Amino acid sequence: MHPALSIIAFTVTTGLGYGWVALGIVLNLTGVAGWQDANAFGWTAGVSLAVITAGLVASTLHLANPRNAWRAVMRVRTSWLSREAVLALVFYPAFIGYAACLFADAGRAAALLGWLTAAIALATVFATGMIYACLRTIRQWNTPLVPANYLLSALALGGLALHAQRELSAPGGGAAVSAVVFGLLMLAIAGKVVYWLKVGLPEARTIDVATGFRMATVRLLDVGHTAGTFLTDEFGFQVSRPVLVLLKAVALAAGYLLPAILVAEGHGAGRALVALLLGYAGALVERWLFFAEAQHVVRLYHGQQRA
Amino acid sequence: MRLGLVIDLDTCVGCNACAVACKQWNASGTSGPLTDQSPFGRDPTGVWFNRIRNYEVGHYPDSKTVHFPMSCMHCDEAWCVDVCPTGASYKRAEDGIVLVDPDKCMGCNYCAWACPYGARELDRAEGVMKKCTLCVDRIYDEALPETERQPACVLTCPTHARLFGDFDDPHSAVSRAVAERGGQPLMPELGYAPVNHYLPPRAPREAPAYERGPSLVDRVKDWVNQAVAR
Amino acid sequence: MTPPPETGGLPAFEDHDAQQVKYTTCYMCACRCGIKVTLENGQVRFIQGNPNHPVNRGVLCAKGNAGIMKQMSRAKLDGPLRRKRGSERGAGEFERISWDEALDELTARLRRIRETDPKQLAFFTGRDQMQALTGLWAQQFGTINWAAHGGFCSVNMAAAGLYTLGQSFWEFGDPDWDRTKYFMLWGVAEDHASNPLKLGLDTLKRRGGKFVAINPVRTGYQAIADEWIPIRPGTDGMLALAMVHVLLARKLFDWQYLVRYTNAPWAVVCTPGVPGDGLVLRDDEGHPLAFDVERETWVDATLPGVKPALFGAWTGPDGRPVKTAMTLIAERYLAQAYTPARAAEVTGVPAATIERLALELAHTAFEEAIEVPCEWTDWAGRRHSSVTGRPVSMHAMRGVSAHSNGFHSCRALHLLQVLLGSVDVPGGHRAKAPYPKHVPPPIKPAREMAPNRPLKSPPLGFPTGPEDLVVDADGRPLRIDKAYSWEAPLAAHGMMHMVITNAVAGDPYPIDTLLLFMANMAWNSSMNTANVREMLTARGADGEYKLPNLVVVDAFHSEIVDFADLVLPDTTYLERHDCISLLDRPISEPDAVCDSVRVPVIAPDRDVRPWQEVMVDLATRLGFPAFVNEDGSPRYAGYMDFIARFERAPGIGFLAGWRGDNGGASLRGDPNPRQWQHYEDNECFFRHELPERMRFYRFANRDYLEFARDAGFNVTADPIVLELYSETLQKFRLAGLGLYDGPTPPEADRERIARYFDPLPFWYRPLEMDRTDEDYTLHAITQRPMMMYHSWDSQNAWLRQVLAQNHLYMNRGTARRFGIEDDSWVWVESRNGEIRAQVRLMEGCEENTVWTWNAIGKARGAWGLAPDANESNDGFLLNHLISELLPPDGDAAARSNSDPVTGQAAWYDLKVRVRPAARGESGAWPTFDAPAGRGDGLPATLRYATHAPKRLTRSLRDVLFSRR
Repeated sequence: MHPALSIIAFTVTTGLGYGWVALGIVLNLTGVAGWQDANAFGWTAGVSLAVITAGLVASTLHLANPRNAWRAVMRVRTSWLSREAVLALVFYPAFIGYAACLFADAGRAAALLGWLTAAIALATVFATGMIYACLRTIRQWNTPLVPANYLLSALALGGLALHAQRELSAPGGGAAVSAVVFGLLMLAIAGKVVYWLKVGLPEARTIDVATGFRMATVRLLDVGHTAGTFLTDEFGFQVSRPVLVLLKAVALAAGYLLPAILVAEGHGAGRALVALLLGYAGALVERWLFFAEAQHVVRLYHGQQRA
Repeated sequence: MRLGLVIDLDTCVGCNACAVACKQWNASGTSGPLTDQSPFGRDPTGVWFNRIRNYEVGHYPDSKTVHFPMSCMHCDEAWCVDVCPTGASYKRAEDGIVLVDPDKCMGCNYCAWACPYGARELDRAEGVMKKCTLCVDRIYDEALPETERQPACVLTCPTHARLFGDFDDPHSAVSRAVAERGGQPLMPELGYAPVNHYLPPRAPREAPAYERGPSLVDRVKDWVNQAVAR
Repeated sequence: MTPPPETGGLPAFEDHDAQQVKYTTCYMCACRCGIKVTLENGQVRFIQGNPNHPVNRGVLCAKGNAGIMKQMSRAKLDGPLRRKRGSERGAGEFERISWDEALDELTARLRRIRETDPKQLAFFTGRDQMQALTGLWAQQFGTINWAAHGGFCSVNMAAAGLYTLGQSFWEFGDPDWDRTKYFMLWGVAEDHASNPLKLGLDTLKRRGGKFVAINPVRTGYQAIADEWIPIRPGTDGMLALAMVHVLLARKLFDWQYLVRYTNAPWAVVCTPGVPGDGLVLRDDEGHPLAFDVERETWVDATLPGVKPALFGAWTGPDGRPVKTAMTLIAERYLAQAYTPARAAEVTGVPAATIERLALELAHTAFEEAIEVPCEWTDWAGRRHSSVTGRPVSMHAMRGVSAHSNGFHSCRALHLLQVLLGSVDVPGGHRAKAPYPKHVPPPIKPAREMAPNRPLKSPPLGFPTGPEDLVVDADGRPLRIDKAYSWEAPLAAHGMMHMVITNAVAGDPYPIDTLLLFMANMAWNSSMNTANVREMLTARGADGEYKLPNLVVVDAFHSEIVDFADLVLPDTTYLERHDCISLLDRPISEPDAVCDSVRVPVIAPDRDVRPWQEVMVDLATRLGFPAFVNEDGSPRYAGYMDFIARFERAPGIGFLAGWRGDNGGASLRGDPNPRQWQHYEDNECFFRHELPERMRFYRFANRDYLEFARDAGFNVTADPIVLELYSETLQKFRLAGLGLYDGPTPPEADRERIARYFDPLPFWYRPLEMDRTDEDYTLHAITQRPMMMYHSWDSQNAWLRQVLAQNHLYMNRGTARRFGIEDDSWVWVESRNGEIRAQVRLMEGCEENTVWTWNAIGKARGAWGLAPDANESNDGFLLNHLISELLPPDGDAAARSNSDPVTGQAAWYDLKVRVRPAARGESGAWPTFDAPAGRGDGLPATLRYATHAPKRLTRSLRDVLFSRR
């Protein structure tokens, strides 16, 4: 699949925002690590909302006809994209309500709205994952590991953001947060590795199956157009195996292992910011791979032997 | 009704008539214009609803060349419609034709991702996803002669390798062809329940021959003339 | 389809009141299908096949469907052009001039030529469909230097048929699709015919007939064959003759058919080395003799009721030894040279397969014969109540024709058809009016020329002996292309591929003006293209161009246009009148006599004129007798008037329908001034159904023969004898042997003539292959992509999306042996040079063959395409590798690379070798620089539509509440 930068930026950035918010609220509500003060919460809320909003805006950049983007909420009944859009919209009042309750010291309401907001945030990420996971046309995506990984990525990245926020407002404060973030990073690594192992299994679909000629070798003779088409542009992306392996190593090392070490081995705002930036960059690479490695089944008709 | 096409791989010679007829009709049809990019320059490309691919099955000298037209299958389980967030894509209850309301499409390509058959193409100039309409702007047009109320691709096919009709009607030409010739949908295992079916190439016809045997004539003089009147 | 009660609120999509439907005839290729054109706002909304039309019965191919984009082409010429003074040919620098200026200038030049030496004008036309008119024009001008592109295309097929059956494949005759049970397709490179062949294959396959494809490449039609026979190029004749061997050896031939309708029983004199050898034994009146087996005496073989021996050797009444032609046939093909085992070595087809195919053909012909009840009268007046059908049929085209052994290979196919008794019978190969004609048609090529005089006969015809050649007293060619010379005696379509080479070399003489219509001689219609382009710009010692004046007539800016001194822009096929005449290349069916017209459906938006209109204008200006009255005033008001009123013979004109005062006469009748209107009212075609009694055995069917005579198809109603043994060829052979009482070839030609003018078909290695084999191991051939067919449409904005670059296709196993990878660039070398091309590997390709799509590669800047277009940078032209001359054979002067009998350009004889290009070498080579400014102003996008669309709408309710 063509790795569209806007979509990569959108999924990673909103994931970071939703993970951050969800984790912050949950840690706060469970008492693992509360907001240090209203000020810290205030700017966290502001920045995370800005991050989420920026991510959502990025998502519209890949639309060929963004004027109709508002219609994306219409088909919640069947479309995960619609569900994601609705959840993304509902998130705002919930989160703002939670913030208001927090400022107004309305404890019970804050707790209720907090749980709700966290749930919506994670549900949004889940819906984003399901946008891809529901496609039977792309074997690499059509697995529950996809929403699981989207959630793990979002939480790990959100954790790095929360960690950075805490280190910025009160350096060296939250050992518990560090431990949670470290744990989430490890989980995310596990998720990645399991996903990549699964994706690396021999492909099930072949050109023989696609064309229905199952008894003999089938090869494309002519694809029927000399230059590319919308289909080849959208689905024809190909990346070589060595590049794949290298990028996976980079994504794991930069995006998860290094930040994990940075988080576990010490404190400091600069250190935490570096960990966050590394995590973000690694997630971008990993998300790029998510698209680049995905092989749409239509490629079989374009001559690919397996997909 | 469940309208769709039957494509006969036994007689398709890959001439592209259906693909170009489709392009021609739809250029000025309900989905038109179908933008062409770089029409007279390098790497010409454009929006088509029907494309013909050629495959070779088996190895020389027993290889078989197969021409393979593909367009929208108007699936019963049209996942392209389900994934559409705006409701622009829809499947008509009346006849099962899968269509796009261009005024509702936001050009997210999601439906194209959901389609295993490459049936949807984005018109970049309009930002709208386009696809085979089964010539919905022909088949119900009572101003056309009844025999011409067919998709343009079917009307034009020089080997009559394309049939159009109602798959719900067991007596329709399409239903009978599928039943008689073992018509198959493409990749049914994906669960899309495509309406269009492909008739596989028939087994090569064996012609009876005289038994092989030794020459009956070694020298010309072995022939005895027959008295045949001119 | 009846609309369901609720069509879901569909709008009225088309505003039919704003639309108009017209009928005309397609011209996107040579099939001439009927089309129904819907117009809207002065543009074409939709072109579809005319369901009532006999040629295509409603279907239409990709080309026909892309007619709109032909009209939208950026290559359309928009006014007369004159090469800028001082600019070089090929630079493409022109000035626009008015039609008056263009025609005044041209008329003056042509008048001077006509007044002094008419042969100084050579007029050659490409794939036009008005050869009856262009030929008449040349005849009236008085130049013998006229021909169309047939010499480049398929003259072997046409000439072999006309010298054997009086008909041939494609326009001459068709398989009886509705009855045939076994169909063999030989060497059809996805070319002629298009829709009729597709319709036929569909009919055949649905009826369960067997379809065998003999072709080195398995694409297109061959793809759907029941059996594919990958054959080595140039060996089809051997395959056919090996099947003849099997039939003869197993006594599987139609004895009655041979006796009744062919010259197989005729006695042939066998006196080797003596004049008269090989000629038919004749009585004093010239009637051929045969030996009657009952009366045991010599009889006139043309009489009814005689019972001639098919086999035998005797001493003739004049004491000379004779054998029947059939005996000679049996002796020839039963010999070792034509056994399946020998043929297997040559063709690459296993001997057992050859034998099986022959036995299948015979089994179908004889054991599955069909008897069709049908009252008919034979040539002798005997009535019959049925006809016996031999349901085996064949079709052959370029792959057989475009070899230097193509004439004999095509004859071999006809021999096979005739032995099976399958010509013009139910289920077999059936003639289409005006065919069959007598063998050969009784028209002799013109030879005498005089200033200001029309020729006495058309420039092209059918020699029946050396005395008919168009040579001077010393045996030197009189025509610029050397057609009908000793180099190519039966060049019935001329030799267009030699015109420029000969004219520039001044051999046999220089000419003043070359007038080309729709012939792209600076590209794909020439062999050795790069050199031909140089010839066009070659200057003599006087500094003038060796070819002083080149006039090009075309609707589009093809490669040759840039070399023209004067360009006359033609209209497109949707903008003009045309007639597809029985005098020309007919469109009849086996059961009906047909012709058709083209009428304009849209008005030209440029300063262009239909070439036929200009030809009538020029003919009038030049005072051609057929075009002016006694007082020199114009006889015709223009093309339409000319077509309606010109009579070739009393009552016979260009159009056969609606003749006579009120249009009541068919085929023959007085000119009808309202004839065009009748055609328009009848969807632009005329179809005269033949009664059942005239549908079979037409060479010997009295009713048909008389009908054909009365309609002007044939001069007499005499029966037509199928000539398995060609006495005409034997006369030339005798001349070569110095045994002929008449013209004798020059010394250098004698051996060739004696060898190749064999009265019976034989197989020999194609000439180029024979001389280049060891160095060049691969055969290189071309095919036509069905969606383009000719080069005309590689400019087409829709069609070029399907195919904008041709590849060199080769067998995967062969490529592996040469270390060549899929999609890599390679050098392809022939004895004539080298080109660079991109390879594509495939399975369905004979192992010793490489091939490509013809005429996709273009010169930069031509055809209205951007100079960086795929066609001119990645696509390539194979023609660069093909020399128009044969490799020298000993000391003799170089001969044209043609069939030695007909002069057919032997471009399928090409042999090449292929080696991988070096790393970094990519792109086609050679390329040619585009003239300055080409490609400027080309649109980045094209959004064609004839109206704003009525868009589909889905209700909000449905969006929100529907399950899906």
